[in-house]
Amino acid sequence: QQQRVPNTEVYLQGSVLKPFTEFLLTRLRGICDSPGDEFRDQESVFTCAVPGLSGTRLRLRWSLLHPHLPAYLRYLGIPESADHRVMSRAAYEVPVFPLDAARQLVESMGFQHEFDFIAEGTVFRRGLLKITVYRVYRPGAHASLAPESSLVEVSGLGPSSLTAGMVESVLSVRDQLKSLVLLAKHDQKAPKA
Amino acid sequence: MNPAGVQISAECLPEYTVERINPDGSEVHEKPPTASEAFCQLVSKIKFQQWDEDLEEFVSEVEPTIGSADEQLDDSNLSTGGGQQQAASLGPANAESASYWQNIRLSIAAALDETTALMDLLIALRQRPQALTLEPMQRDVEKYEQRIQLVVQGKKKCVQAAAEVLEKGRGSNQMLQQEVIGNFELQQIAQCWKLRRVANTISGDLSLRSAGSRYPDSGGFELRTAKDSSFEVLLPGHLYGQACVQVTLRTSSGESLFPQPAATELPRVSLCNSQRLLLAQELYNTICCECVQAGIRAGPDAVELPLAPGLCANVSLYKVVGPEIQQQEQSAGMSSKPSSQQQQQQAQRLPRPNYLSNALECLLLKRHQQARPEPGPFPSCAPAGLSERRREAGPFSRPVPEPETGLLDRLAAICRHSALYREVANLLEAWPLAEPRLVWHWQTGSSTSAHVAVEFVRRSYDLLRSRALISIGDRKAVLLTTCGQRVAARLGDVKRLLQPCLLREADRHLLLCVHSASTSLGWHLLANSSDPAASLLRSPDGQCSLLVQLDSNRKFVVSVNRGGNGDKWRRVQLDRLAGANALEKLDHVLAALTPLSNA
Repeated sequence: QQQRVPNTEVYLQGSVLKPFTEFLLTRLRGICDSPGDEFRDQESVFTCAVPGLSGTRLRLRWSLLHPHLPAYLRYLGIPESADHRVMSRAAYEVPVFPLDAARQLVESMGFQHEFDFIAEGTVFRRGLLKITVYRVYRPGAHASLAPESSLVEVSGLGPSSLTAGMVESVLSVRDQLKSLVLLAKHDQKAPKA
Repeated sequence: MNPAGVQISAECLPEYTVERINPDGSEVHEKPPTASEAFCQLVSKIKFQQWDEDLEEFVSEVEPTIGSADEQLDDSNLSTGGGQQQAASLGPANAESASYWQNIRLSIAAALDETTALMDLLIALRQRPQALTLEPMQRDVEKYEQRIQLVVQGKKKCVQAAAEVLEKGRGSNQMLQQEVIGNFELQQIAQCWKLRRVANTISGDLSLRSAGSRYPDSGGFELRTAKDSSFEVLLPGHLYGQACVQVTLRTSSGESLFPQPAATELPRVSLCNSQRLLLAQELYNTICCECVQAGIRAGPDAVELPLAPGLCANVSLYKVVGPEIQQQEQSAGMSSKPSSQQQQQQAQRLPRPNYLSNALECLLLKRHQQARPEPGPFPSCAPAGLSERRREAGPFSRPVPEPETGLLDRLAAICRHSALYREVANLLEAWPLAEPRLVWHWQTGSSTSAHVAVEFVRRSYDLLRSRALISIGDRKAVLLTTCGQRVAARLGDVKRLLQPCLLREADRHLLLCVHSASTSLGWHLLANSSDPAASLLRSPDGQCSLLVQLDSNRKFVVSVNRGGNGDKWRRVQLDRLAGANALEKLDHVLAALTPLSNA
């Protein structure tokens, strides 16, 4: 049963400029199973305050358009480069409901709230993969952090036994979108000041 | 090679004359003569015939001085005794000193020759300028022509090398341009259609499977590279054409309820039209399947659906496929050699889709949309599909879906609603009365419901209006009046049931106008009746009574009773009164009967 638990996320990221976003969405509607659904989610990031585990983060994400649906508590590990073509990391997700209780639970576990952000865009599905085209906002702000571009992310979450297949699927999507957006591995380290 | 530009070297005119060109391409330039060489050449052209004696005298005078100078130098060396030392100190040993002094002597003699020649020239110019001629330097003609040819060949070689470079660049640019054109076309096609590479070919998909369609026809097409590096589309035979499904409403006598616009476009072959052809086939097949299930007979091209007594809907499939399109193109004069037979044939054209056809297509697309998987995931980080909670909750976790109605039932509902809509519109447009007149406003809710607000207005300045509402569904049309009256009518009974009600409402509005006018003059309403429409009014002083009635022809009948005596009613002849309509005349009557104290 452990092999069937989705614990690995394989993903690639890229960006697309604002004038070409509509072309990308049109292409995704053609190659994906779903025609694309609008989403607007808010995510709270909590950092562990316990000494020795200060780098551990938990993320609580919920939908602002569908508040009646459960939120998800996520743990995302450090990106690994086991495959030189894609990025992979350990990922665990748990649906939690209601939202306030989940927040209290996380804080009682010794985590402190670090920051919030809002992601707004379109999500497509292609088999086990999810392709999201979205922008990031600060809560309460009208303009996104990057007004002239949108973030494109192709990700697949599944058990480790299906990682090879997901990698091939991610690479196939990358090749199909190559003329519009360059999906590649990115350095996740924060830029030096 | 950089296709953006080619470096071409530009050569200026050679500074020196090319004497010869080596096989390796290097040039040997002829050095220009120095000043003394040029001067000597010039001097050799000068004729010194008459001045040779002067020159010999001059030379004879100068030479002894040079020899005496040498002798004096030698004697001085011998006489002094220390001359040897001086000689030794002056120069090297005797043999070497002789050559040394000889070289000096020769150079001085050369300078002397030049100076002498210059002096002769000056004397000639001064004394006898007519005898002095200067001829230009004569070059060797043959050698000059050879040099010219060498120069031309050299320049030809340079230009040829530059031309080869330009030719190579042009060829590569052309290939690149064709490749760019081909890639651009492919990108344009890929923006609208799903393409995938299968072995060495590119195949596409015309079907609506991505929209949820489950039609078995795959709708595949191929892209092939043409000779000019562009792409051409290969369609299967059954999709090479254009088609549409047309829905018409006909009465039992064959009359069409909606006028059909004439088609003016010839069918064309394109990917969009092929996809519409596939959609039309799927739509007609779906209709036929449901007709068979409902026990309705379906033909290969047309199906007749009974809607109501005397009304049926005709669903027809119009298709122009394959060779027929080529034949039509030829008959329309698009071929280079039209024949008489082709000109006589009338080109079959597809009818333009009407509102019902578009509604039917929307029904099918909506059904495809309902067949889609669940939307989401929400939030976007959630796994795709049902959530664990829902999955674990069992079959009752999902909301109970509504019973699915077939395409045929919905189409029948839309057709009935359209027929009812048409009947109500005809009823309002054929309003028989000039006073009051009707003003109506339509509000369309959906394809099976609509509302129309009707107002009765008078052709005057007053704002008095009476309202009524007609709601049109898919089975019946319901009229609601302000007095609470409700009348429902089915297909075919709209005029018979709704028109009398509207006329009664019009009568009531007219009487309302009379009440309004009388009230403004102080009259009192004693009695009012809606059927028959009549009102009894009393003057402000109570001395006069007025009875206003509407006869069967919707004309005012006014009677006056003076003095309060109920038996003596005298009819007012409104025809003899001035006024645009009966209401204006009645206004005059009221004004005339109103006592002055109340006016």
